[in-house]
Amino acid sequence: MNNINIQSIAIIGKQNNPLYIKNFSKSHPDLKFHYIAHTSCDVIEERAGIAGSETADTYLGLLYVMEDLAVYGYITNTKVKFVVVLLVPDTVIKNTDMKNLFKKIHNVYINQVCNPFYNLDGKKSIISKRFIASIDAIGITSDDVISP
Amino acid sequence: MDNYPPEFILQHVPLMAVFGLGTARDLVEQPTSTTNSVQSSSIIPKSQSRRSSLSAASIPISTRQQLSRTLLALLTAKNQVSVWGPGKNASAAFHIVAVDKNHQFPPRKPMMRPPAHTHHPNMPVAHSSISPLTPGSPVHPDGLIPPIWVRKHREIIPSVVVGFYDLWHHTSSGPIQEKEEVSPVQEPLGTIEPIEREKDNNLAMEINEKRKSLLERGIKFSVVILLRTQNMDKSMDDRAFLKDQTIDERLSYIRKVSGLDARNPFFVLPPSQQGDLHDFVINLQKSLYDHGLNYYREHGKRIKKKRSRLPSPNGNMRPSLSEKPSTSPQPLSIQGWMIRYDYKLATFAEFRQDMETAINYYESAYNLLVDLFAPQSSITLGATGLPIRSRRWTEARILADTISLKICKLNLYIDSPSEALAQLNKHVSTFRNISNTWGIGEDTFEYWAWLSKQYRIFADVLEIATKSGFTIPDPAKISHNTTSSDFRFSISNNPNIGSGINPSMVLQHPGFYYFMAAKYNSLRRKNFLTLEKFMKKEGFETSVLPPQNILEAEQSVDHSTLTIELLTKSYEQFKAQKTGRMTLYMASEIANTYLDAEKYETALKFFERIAKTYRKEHWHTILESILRCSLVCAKELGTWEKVVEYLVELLSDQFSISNQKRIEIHNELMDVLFKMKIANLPELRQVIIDMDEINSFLTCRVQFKDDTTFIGAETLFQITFTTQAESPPIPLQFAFLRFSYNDSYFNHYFRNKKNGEKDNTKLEWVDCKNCLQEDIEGEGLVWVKDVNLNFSKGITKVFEGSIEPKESGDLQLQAVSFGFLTERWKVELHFNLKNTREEHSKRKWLIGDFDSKGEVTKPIYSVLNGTGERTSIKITQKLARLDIQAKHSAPALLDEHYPIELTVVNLEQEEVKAFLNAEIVTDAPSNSIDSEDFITLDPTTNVSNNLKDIDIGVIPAGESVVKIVYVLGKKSSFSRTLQLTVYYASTSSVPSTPFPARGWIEKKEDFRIHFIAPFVFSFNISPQSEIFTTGNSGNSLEWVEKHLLVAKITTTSPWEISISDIDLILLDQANAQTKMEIAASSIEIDNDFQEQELTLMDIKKLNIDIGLLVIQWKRKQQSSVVKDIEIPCTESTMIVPQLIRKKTEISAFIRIPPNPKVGQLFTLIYKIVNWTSSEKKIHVIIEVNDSFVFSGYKQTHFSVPGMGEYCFRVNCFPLIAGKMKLPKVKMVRRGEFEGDEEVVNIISPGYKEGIEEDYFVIFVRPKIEI
Repeated sequence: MNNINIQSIAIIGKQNNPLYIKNFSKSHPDLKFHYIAHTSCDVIEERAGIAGSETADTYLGLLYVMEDLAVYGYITNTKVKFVVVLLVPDTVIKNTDMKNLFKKIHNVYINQVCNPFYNLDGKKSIISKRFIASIDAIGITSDDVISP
Repeated sequence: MDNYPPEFILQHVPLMAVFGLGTARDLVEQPTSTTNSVQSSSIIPKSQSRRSSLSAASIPISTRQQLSRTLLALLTAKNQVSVWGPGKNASAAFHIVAVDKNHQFPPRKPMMRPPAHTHHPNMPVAHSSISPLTPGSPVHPDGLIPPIWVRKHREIIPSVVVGFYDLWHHTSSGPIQEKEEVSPVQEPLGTIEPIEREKDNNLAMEINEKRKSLLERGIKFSVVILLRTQNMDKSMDDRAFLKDQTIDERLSYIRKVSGLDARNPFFVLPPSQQGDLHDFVINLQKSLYDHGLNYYREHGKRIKKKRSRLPSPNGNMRPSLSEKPSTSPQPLSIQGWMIRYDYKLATFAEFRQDMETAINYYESAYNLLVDLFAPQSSITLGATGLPIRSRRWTEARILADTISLKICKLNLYIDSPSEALAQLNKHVSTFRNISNTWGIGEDTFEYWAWLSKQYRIFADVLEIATKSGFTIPDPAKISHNTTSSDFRFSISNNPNIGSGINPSMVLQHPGFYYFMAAKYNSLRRKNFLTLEKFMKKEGFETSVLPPQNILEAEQSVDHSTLTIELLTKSYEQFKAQKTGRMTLYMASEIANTYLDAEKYETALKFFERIAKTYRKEHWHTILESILRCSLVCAKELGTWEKVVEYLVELLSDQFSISNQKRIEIHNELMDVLFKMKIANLPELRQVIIDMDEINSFLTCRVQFKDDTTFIGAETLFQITFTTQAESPPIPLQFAFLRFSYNDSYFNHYFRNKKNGEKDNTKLEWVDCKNCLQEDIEGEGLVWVKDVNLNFSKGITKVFEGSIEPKESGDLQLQAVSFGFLTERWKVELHFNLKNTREEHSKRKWLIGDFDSKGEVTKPIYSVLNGTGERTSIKITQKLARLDIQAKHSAPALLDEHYPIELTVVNLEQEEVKAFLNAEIVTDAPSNSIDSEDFITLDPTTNVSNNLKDIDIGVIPAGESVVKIVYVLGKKSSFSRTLQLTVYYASTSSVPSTPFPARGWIEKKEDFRIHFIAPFVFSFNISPQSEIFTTGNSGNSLEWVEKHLLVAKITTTSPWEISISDIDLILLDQANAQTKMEIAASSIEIDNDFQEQELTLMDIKKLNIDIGLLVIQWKRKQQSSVVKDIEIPCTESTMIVPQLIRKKTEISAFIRIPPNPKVGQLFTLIYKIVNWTSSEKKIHVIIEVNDSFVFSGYKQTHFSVPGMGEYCFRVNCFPLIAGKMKLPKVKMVRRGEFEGDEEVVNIISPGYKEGIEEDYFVIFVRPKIEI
C-alpha cells in the first residue's frame, strides 16, 4: 500500500460526464487530470465491453501509463466510472491494494447515491461536502504514508 | 532514427555473395525492380520487396541475360534492409549481394598473433584496416567500434559465395565464355567432344581457383551450373535430359576437377520457368543457410577467444584526466576492448539469429559502455577516457543509444516486451543521471532533445514491430511477481490471480511513446527558448553555453513542427486503437503546439473541432481551457465574431472561474461590443450565437398555457429566462428581445426600457401583452413593446404575452433571441426552439397581475398539466356549441310530404343568429340530378332537393328553435340522408361576409330517413265471355272483347292511410266504360273491383295500354310532428299493366252454355275468326267420350272466309251428372301443302284454358235436383 501515491481521483458519470475530479498532485495541473479522466473513458468502455456480461469484474486494473502517471480504472454496475491516477513507482502495485482503494471510493459514492435528493441522472458535478471530504480523505491518507 | 548510423540499428542477416549473374547495377536497369542499393539506409517495407519479386518473376525467360536477371531479382528480392528483421520466425533467408565474377573480397588480415601478454596496447601491425590499432582507421587509436565494421560484415564479406556458371556448348556465347568460338562441326550426341572436355576443364579450373581463395577466408563456396536448352537433346523429353549420360558425365567431371567435395554444395539448374526458379532460389538459400550460420559461429568463437585473452581492467589503472591533461589521444583501454569484443560477439550472434546470446552480449557491452560515461568508472578504476563532447564521446553515446535500441528490439523479437521496456527505462534513467552530472541534464534542451529521440525511436521500432505482427500484450492480462526482484512478466488468463502489476513495466502501444517524445520535444523547445532569452541578457557567461555548432544546429530546428509531427503520429496510433477521447487529447496537444508556434488559424481549427465533444460530455474544465486558447487565437487573427462567441460562452458559471475573472470576461465582452474601434471592418457586424450549442449563462423555457386554442381566442404564452447563480457577474442590458414564430405575423420585438430603479427581485413577471404592431427597420411588421431587459445574476424573468390566432393550424414559437445593438455590432443570443429539448419537469405558469395601483403583484407559480415545454400550439376552429335534433315518424312513405321537426338548441353562452342549409340525398347510386326528391318548408310547394340559407332567426342562449321541413321522396324506396348544416354567429358579432367565411361557426348533422312505398299493387286481367251473335257478324267491322281487370291494392305502411279517391285514367287506346266499386277503403283496399269494356281501336296493335291507377291518400293519423298544419292529400300513381294479346291467324272461341243438365240437349258453339284476308280451311275431329252423346260428324271440315268468322256447333246430350269433360274438338287448319298444318287453339273466355290432354270440363247438373 505504501507504494500507492494517489495523484488524482475521478468519478465519471455513466454518460461519461465528470462528476468529481480531485487533484492531489503538487506537480500537475488540474487540467491534466481532467484530460486523463476523459481519455480513460475510452479504455474503461473497451475493457468493460470485453469483460462483457459474464464475469463483469468491476475492477479494470491498469488502464494505461502516461509519462509518470499510471491510470487505474473501476466501473460500477450502474456504469459509473472511477479513475485513480498514481505516480508510477518502480515496484509492483498489488491488485488487492488497488481493489481496496476502489472499494473505498465506491462506498463513498454509494453513500452519496443514498441521498434521496441526489439526482442520479444529473450531469452536474457532485457538490456534497461530505462526499468531497470523504474522497479527499482517501486521497490524502495514501499521500501521507509516502510523504515522510 | 535516421541520425544514427544505419549499420548500428539495422537487422543483421547472413550475407551471401553471388557472381555470374551480373551485378545489382544491371538489375537497376530493369524498370520493375526496386531492389535497393545496399548503401541505402531507408527502410523498405517487406511488402514492397515482395512486390518487386513478383514483378521480376513475371518476365519471360528466353536469353541467358534474362535468366540472370530473373535469378538475381529473385535472390535479392527479399533483401532485408530494414530495422525489423524476420525475428524469431526467420526463414532461412540471406542478404544477397551480387558481385562481379572477378570480385576480390577484402583480404583476410594475417592470422592472429600468439597472445601478447606484455604489450597489448601497442599491438603492432597485422590488424584489420579498421582496427583501432591501425593508424588511419576511423577508430584509431581509441575509438570503440566504427559503423564501417558492421557494414563490412553486413555488406562486404559474405558468409557464403555462390558462383553461377554456364556449361559450354556450341552456340553458347554467354558473357562468361565469350572468348570461345563457335564450333563448325555438329557433334553427335552421347559422346564428349574434346572441345567440350577442354571447356569443361577450363571451367573446373576456374571454379577450383575461386574455391581455394575463399576457403582461405573460411567462406563457403557453392557452384550453380546453369544448363541451357542447347545442352540438351532437342528430341528428348525435357524431364529426361538429366539422364543424358553426356551431361552427367561432364558435370561430374567438372565437380571432380574443381575439387568441390561433398561438403561444397553443387547445384545444377536446368532451364525452367519462373515458378521453378523461385523454388530454386528458396532451396538454394535453405541448403546454404547452415553454412552461413557456421561462418558467423566461427567468427564468434574467434572473438570469444580474443576477449578471454584480455587482462582484467581492474589491474590496469587509467590515467586520470587531471593527471594527464594531454590532448594526445590515449590508446583504447582494456574496457574499450571488452566493449569492442562484446559488441562483435553480439553482432555475430545476431547474424546467426541467436537472439538470446546477442542480447546477453549487447547488454554486457552496454553496461561496460555506460560505465565509461560515469565520472568514476566502477570497472576500470580512475576517470574514464571520454571527455565530454569529444568526438569519441559523441560516438560512444551513439553507440550506447543504438545498443540500447538493439536490446529493446531483440527483446521484442523474443517476445519479452517487459524486458524491452525495461531497457528503455534503464537507458533513460541511466543517462538522466549521467547527464545531470555532466551539466547537460534536465535544464538543457540537449537532454530533452536526446530523450525525445529515444522515445521516438522506441515508438518507431514498436510501430514497425506491430506492423510486422508483434502484438502488444493486454495490460489487463499481465501480472508481475511481487516477491521476486526479477520483473519477468507472466501471462495469466485471469487478472485477479495476478498479485499485481508494475506500471513501469507495461509495454503499451507506440502512440504513448510518440506522445512522450512529443512532450519531451516541447520541453526541449521550452528549454531552448529559455536559453535564447538568457543569451540575450547582457553579461551572461558563455562558458555555460553548449558549443556554437550545437546551438546553431538547434536554432535551425523547427521544434513545433517536430512536436506536431510526433503528436500526429501518436494521434494516428490512438486512432488506430479506436480510442477516440485519447485522439481528442492528442488533438488538443497539437492545437496547443500550434498556438505556441503562433499558427493561430490552424490552432483555432483544431480547438473548434475538439471543443464539441468536451462540451457535449460536460468536461467544463477542459472546455474552459480550450475556449481560453481559442480566444487567444481569435484575437490574434482578428476574428472578433468568434471572440464575442467565446466570451459569451465563458460567462457561463459552468466553468469554475472566480468572480473576479468572470467580471474580467464580462468587461472584455462589453469592451469589444461597445468600446473597441476595429479598423477595416464592415459597418455592422452581425453575430448570431446559438445558445443551445454552447454553455449558456441564460436558459430559456417556453410555455403556451394551453395545448390548443381557437381562432380568434386570446392565447397566452410565457417565456422564462433564468440567469445562472454566478453569471452574469454584472447586470447585463440587452437592447432587444425577439420572439420568432413560424407565422411571421406574430413576431414580437421588445425594446429595452431603461428603468431607473434597480430591481432586486429574484422572480419577475413581465407583462408583454397589448403590444402594438409597428414596422421596425430590419424586422418588418412586428408586435412591439418596451420592457425592461436588464438581467443580473441568479434571477428569473417571465415574459407573458398573448396572441390571437387567425387561422387554424400549428403555431410554433421557433426562436427567441436576445440582442445587443451597438454602432458596430448586432449580436444575437439565439435560442432555437425548433428542436425538442430535454425537459421533464412539470409545466409551470407564473401568475402575475397588476394591483389597483398598476404595480405588478407578487407572482406565484401554478402548475399546469403535463411536463416539458410547449413551444407550439394547435389552433382549431372553435367547436360549435349547438345541438340539432330531428323528430319524425319513421318510416317515411314515398310520395308523401314527410314532416321532420328540427330542433336547434343553442348551448352557447350568448344568443346567436343561425341559418340552416338542408339537402336531401338519395343513397341510390344514381345521380342526384335525376332525383325527384324534394325538400321544402311548405308542403304545398315543391321546390328543390335542397334548402339554402334559411334564416332560423335569433336563438337566445340555452333555448331552442323548432323548424319543420318536409321531405318528399319519389319512386325509389332507398333510404335518404338529410344533411343539415346550421351556421351561426353571436348576435353581437355577425360577420358581414356571408357564410362560409371567418367568424361563422358551423355545425353539421346528418339524419337517415327510411322510405317505403305506401302501397303494393297487383293486377289481374282476364278476358270475358260473350254471347255469340250469328248472322250480322259478317258485316260488322266492330270487334269487341271484354276483359276483366282486377287491381289489388295493399298498403305496407305501419301507419293507417285514408284514401280519398282511386281513379283509373284510361289511355286513348282503351275506351272503356268503367264501373268501380270500392269495397273497402279505409283499412285495407283489397277488393277494388273494376269491370270495363274495351274497344279496340287498332286490331293490329296487340298489346294495349290500359291506363294509370291514381290514388289520392294521406295518413289517417297525422304525424305527431305536425299537429295544426293540414297536410294535403298526396297522389300515388301506378301504371296498370298492358293487356297482352297473342298474335294468331285464326282464333277459335268456345261458348259453353251455362247450367247443362242431364238429359237436356245443349249446343257448344265454336266461333272461328279468320284474321287474315284469305280463306282458311279447317278440319275438325271430334272425340267422343262417355259423358256425352253428340250428334253430327265425327270428322268434318269447313272453310272460314277472309276477315270473316264461322260458327261451328256441336250438340251434346249429357248422360252423367257431375264434373265432366266435354267431347274434345280438335281443329286443324289445313295448309296449302303437306305439313303446313296448324292446330287451332280453342279459347273459352271465362273458363280456364284447357291444357293439352284436358279439355274443358263442365259441371253437369243431375236431372233431378236433390
